[in-house]
Amino acid sequence: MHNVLLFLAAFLASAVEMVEALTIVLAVAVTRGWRSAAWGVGSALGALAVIVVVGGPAITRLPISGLRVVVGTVLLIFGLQWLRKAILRSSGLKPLHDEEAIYRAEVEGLRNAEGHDWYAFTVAFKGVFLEGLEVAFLVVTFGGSQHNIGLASIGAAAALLVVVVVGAYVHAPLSRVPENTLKFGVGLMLTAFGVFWSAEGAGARWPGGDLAILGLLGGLTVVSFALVGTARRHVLVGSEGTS
Amino acid sequence: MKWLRNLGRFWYDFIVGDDWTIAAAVIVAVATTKFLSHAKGTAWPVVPAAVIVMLSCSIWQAYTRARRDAKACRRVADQDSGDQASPLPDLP
Repeated sequence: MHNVLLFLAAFLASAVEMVEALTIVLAVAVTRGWRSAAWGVGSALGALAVIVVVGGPAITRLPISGLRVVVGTVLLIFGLQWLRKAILRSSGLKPLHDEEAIYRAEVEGLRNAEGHDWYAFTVAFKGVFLEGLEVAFLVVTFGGSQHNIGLASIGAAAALLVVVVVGAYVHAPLSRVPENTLKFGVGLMLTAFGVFWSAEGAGARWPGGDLAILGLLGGLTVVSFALVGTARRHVLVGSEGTS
Repeated sequence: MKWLRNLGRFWYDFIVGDDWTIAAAVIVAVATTKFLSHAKGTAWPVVPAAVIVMLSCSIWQAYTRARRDAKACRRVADQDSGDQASPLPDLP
C-alpha cells in the first residue's frame, strides 16, 4: 500500500509540475527556437537527477526513527502548503492556475527580450529546474523514508514521459489538465504521510499500525472538502452581502 | 552575503510558504507528541488535531483577509465615483 501511494504521489506531483514547466518551455521554443529550449530542458533535468542521485543515498543512511521525525515534519509542512493552496483555489479565494494566460505572458516577454539565445536557454532551464525541484525534493524525502527512491523516481519519470508525449502531440499548453485537483490529491497524500511519520518518529504508536495512513487520508479528505464547502458558502454570502 | 540571504529566502518560501504559523504549529505538535510518548501518554492524536485546527484557521484567515481587501477596494471605488455604483465586481 505504501508503495502504491509513493508511486502515485511522485507521479501526480511530477505531472502537475511538468505541465507548468511545459507551458514555459513551449513559450521559449515557439518564440526563440527548439534548440535552446531543448538544451535548457536537458540541463535542468540533469541537475535534478544529480540532486536525486546525491541526496537519495545520503538520506537513506540516516537512522529511520530520526529520519522519519525530521522528514515527516518537513513533508507535513510542505504538504499542508499544497493542501492549503488547493483548498483556497477550490473555494474561489485564490485564482486557479491559468496555463493559457501564463503562456501568453511568457511569449510576450520572450518576444520583447533582446540578446543571445542564452536568454532562451536560461528561461527554459529555470522553468524546468524550479518546477522540478519540488518533485526532486519529494522523491528524495518521500522515497528516502520508504527506502524506495527508485520507485519514486520511476513515478516521476513516468509522469514526465506522459506530459512530454501529450505536449508534443497537442503542441499547446495543457490548459485542460485539472491541475488543482491533482494538487489537492498530492497535498492530501503528503499531509497524511507527514502526520503519520512525524508522530511515529516522535514515539507515538498508531492504532491499527500502517493502516492508520488510510484513516488519516480519509479523515483529511473529509475535513478538506468540508473546508472548501464552508469557504465557498462564505464567499457566496460575502459577495451577495456587499452587492 | 546577498546570495546567502536570497538562498535562505528561497528555501523559506519553498518549504514554509505563505503561512509560517502552520510550520510553527506543526513543530510544536511534534514536540508535544515526543513529550507525551516519553511520559507514556496517548500521543498519536496531537499531530492530526493540530493539522485540522491550523488548516481551518489558515483558511479562515485567508477568507477574512480577502473580505477586508474587497471592502477596502469598494470604499476607494465608491469615493472615486461619488454616489454612482462601483464598476468593480463584488469580491468575497
